[in-house]
Amino acid sequence: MTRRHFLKATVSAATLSTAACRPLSRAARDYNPLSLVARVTILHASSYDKNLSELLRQGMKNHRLDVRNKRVVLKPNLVEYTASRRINTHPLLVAAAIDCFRNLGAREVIVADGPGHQRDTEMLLEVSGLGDVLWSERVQFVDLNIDNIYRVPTATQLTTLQELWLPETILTADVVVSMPKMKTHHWAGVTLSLKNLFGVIPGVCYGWPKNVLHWHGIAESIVDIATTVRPSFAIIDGIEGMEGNGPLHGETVNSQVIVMSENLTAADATAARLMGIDPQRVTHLSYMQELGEPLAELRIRQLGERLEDYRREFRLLAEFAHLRG
Amino acid sequence: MSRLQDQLSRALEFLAAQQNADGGWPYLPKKRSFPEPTCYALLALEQAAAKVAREERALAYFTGHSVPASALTLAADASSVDNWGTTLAFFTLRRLKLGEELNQRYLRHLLRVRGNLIAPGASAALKLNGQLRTWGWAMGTASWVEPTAYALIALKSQGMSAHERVKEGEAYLLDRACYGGGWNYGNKEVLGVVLEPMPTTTAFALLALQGLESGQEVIARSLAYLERALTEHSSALSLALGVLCLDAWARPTERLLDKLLGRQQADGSWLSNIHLTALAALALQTRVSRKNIFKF
Repeated sequence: MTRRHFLKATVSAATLSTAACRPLSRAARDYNPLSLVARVTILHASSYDKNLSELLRQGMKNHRLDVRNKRVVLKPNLVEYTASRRINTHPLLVAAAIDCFRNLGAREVIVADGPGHQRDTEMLLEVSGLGDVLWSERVQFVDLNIDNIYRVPTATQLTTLQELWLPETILTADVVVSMPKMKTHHWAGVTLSLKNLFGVIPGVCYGWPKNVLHWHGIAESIVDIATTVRPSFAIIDGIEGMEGNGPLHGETVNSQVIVMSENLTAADATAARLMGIDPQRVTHLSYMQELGEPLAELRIRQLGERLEDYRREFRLLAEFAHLRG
Repeated sequence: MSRLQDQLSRALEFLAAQQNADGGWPYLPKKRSFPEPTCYALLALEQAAAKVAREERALAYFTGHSVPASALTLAADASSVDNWGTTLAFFTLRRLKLGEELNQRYLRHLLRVRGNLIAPGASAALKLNGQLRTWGWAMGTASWVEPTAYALIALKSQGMSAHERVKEGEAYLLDRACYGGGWNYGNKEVLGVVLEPMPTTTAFALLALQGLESGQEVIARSLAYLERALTEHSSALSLALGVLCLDAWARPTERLLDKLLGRQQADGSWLSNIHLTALAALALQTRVSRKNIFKF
């Protein structure tokens, strides 16, 4: 049995109690989880008009991320643009994060993404409104699809890729912050801070879409990318989320939250719970748990707003009805 | 015309100065070389000074990044085969009459590789013909609109319009066209949702379908979509490809060229990006020298 098959076989029955007691698979033994217990902050934001920078700064007090004198790369979710749908991380939240990290002493803040469908990044920046934010904040945008690239062995081998081409901007960053939109996803169940990392994979090697990753298994690819890149922080834009046929064609949910954590798995687990989804039933999250990352509520220290006050059931496609918590 | 010539000259000067020591061109100055900007820069500079030395160095780049039994690669090994880069290199080297032996290898690769079959269930859900296997961006993936268009342009411009792979490629593009005209990156529908076309993929697909009747419904709708979309968008990539495509289909391009010229930077580039600048220069050449490298 291969490592991948072993992991797959064991993951299907993963629960809090068994995960804590069961001997770890070989892949999990090779992988050093970020933390046993993770802190996750839920912030309330009724709209993007609020002082989000100050809100993020308050939230950061719950976390140990030190960005002083560091190069911070913010990786929003920038996929496609349709005026009527909330597809991308809101530009005003990106602006707030830029301001927040500058105020916390970052030496440099860069915004970077490698859009997965659209080769015309200039157009995407323009129509999405992110371009205006970058201009007014005087922040550099790096198109990760055409950045310098280096081949890196994957930290885990859930796919058979063995190696990933990764962009220089990500590899040389001191701090990578995944900033996804809180959405359902028609192939992966949910797309949050871990799935958002598909955007660091360069299109120049993997195409538009990055179809290599689909053929190697979406859940497995998410894990191999996340464990190899190991971002430092997640800020999930759930002020407006997307339900139903996400990540592009769903409906807007006015969920009014921002979720933050230095542990991406824990951030995504909390966001999934806020969406009325059991994170243990999301394949890539259950893989992360198998690798030792905190998914169960007992391993997540919830800070800020109470989860149950903001939990609302995001509409799921019929194929994902089993994810309901 | 003199303004156009002046702006074209400055674009070409910018491009000529960006050739890396390995003979290739990067997307952005002082970065590593990639096949796509190398191909378009070479094509844009086809008539520029120092042609022989420039092309010899570029040929060294292609040779150094090719594996003997196969194709162009990203890292000179068989595990990093660059499918779409090989197609662009084939098109470029044939056009410039460079590296015949190398190019034969590229052609063999181009005719050998195919996108994966799409399972019947998925084909039905996506409302597409999953039996059509054309070209993907990378090895071992499905077929996609843009790399298929590159392959058709490369093969048809070499007089291979009757080749069975070309015929299959044309059938693929016609199958994947959006209902209202134009092309998305691959599908026209996903899980019951009709997808919207994109200007850049539409431009390449239309270039690839030259030879078909312009009155054919798919072509007519797609040209109409592209012309409409380009009144709304003014990015360099969309404008440059729009000019090249509409010129090939004998449509007016003056307004698009004006918009494109208006976005040129003082250093002669478009956004300091070699790929964009080369395509913009190729677009300007449709007016200055009445040359359209994608027209066949």
